[in-house]
Amino acid sequence: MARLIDIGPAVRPLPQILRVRPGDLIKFAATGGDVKSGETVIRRLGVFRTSALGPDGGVLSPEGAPDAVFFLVCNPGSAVLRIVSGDPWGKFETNLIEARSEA
Amino acid sequence: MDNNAARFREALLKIAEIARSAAGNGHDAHGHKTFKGGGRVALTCSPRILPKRLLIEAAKTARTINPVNAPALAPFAAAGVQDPLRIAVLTSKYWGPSPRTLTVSFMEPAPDDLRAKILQHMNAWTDTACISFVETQGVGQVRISREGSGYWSYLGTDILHIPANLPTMNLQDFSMGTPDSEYNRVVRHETGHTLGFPHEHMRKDLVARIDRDKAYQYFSDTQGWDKDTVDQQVLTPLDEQSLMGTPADQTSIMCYQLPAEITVDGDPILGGLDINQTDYQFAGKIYPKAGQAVRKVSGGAERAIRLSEDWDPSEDVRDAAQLAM
Repeated sequence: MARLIDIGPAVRPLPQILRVRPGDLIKFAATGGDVKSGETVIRRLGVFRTSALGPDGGVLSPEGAPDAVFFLVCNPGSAVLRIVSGDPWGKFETNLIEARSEA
Repeated sequence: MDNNAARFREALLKIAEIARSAAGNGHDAHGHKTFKGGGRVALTCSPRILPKRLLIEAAKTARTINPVNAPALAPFAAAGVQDPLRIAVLTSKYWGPSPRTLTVSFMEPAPDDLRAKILQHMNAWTDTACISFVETQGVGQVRISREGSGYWSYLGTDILHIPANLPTMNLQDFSMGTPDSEYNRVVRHETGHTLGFPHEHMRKDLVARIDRDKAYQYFSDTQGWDKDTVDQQVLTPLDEQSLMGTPADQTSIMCYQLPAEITVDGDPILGGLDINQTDYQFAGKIYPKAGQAVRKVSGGAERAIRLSEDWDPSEDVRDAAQLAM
């Protein structure tokens, strides 16, 4: 079964190597991020803003920067992910993570 | 119905209204309930809802009387949701001019001094504004987490719609070791959102200073953001009528810093490091403390929501905002 791997803000420092499988969905608590290499192995789905279900099925979003980045593991191989966290308007930090995907 | 018939019907309706009023039918000409016996001995006041056709106009009135009543439209504009009726319904983030205390709780255990310090900085706004914050041991209206990602807050009265098990404000990793300057910059900024203030750097005048291509490149390089995210976070100005009733203010606490390398003029957008004088004045104007004038907030808006349920469209008041001036 594919796995949802939720790497929350309390996980610091981030691991330098991440071992995953094709089909896995990875969520980082981060303001931004992308795939620096290996885009055929891992695809970034996007950066997101956590929101809440409001009344009548509407969605309410807070004021603030994105706080989640999702990646989908597509194939075996190796990829390098860049994960940015902190304050995009102030101090932020960048981490590079090697993701190794094994079938 | 021809004109004569319409006039006849109108005359009959007026006669009937006068008759009802004279007989003490329980309502006066303004829809207020009265006790039997004819005279207005006592009133009970229940909120009424405007007819649907006036919701947009009422929202415009609310916005004119008090700019903060306008919704922050950028996310909806980006999504192509611009139904004016929907916008009118969304116009409800302002807490109102009456003094109010909002309760605050913490989602995770926090030491006494830290909780007190956060409350102290939230209450910095009460120097001029009539909304204050007080800690509760129960579930607060404002619920602060320090374990989520980043700094954020829901906007104004939206916090009342957030499920009670979720935070309404996030102050990631704030501790007693966090510099005071960050309490000034972040806690007061996020509390500004709770008061209903959106981002000042999304003002049209400030967005116009940003070189779009440079912004795309900068945020791609530093954050990995795609163009849509940059558009949403930086380049989509809010409706100018929706924000502060002051000129765009790059030192407002609600304004983020933006670097010189992405501006057209080569100067940075400074961003606010603390609540400035304009912020205080504006907060005091829309949330006036006792003794301060409530000019422009009473009158028209209240009149609009107290009118009775429906009437002939020809009687609609089209310049309600003028009544409040």
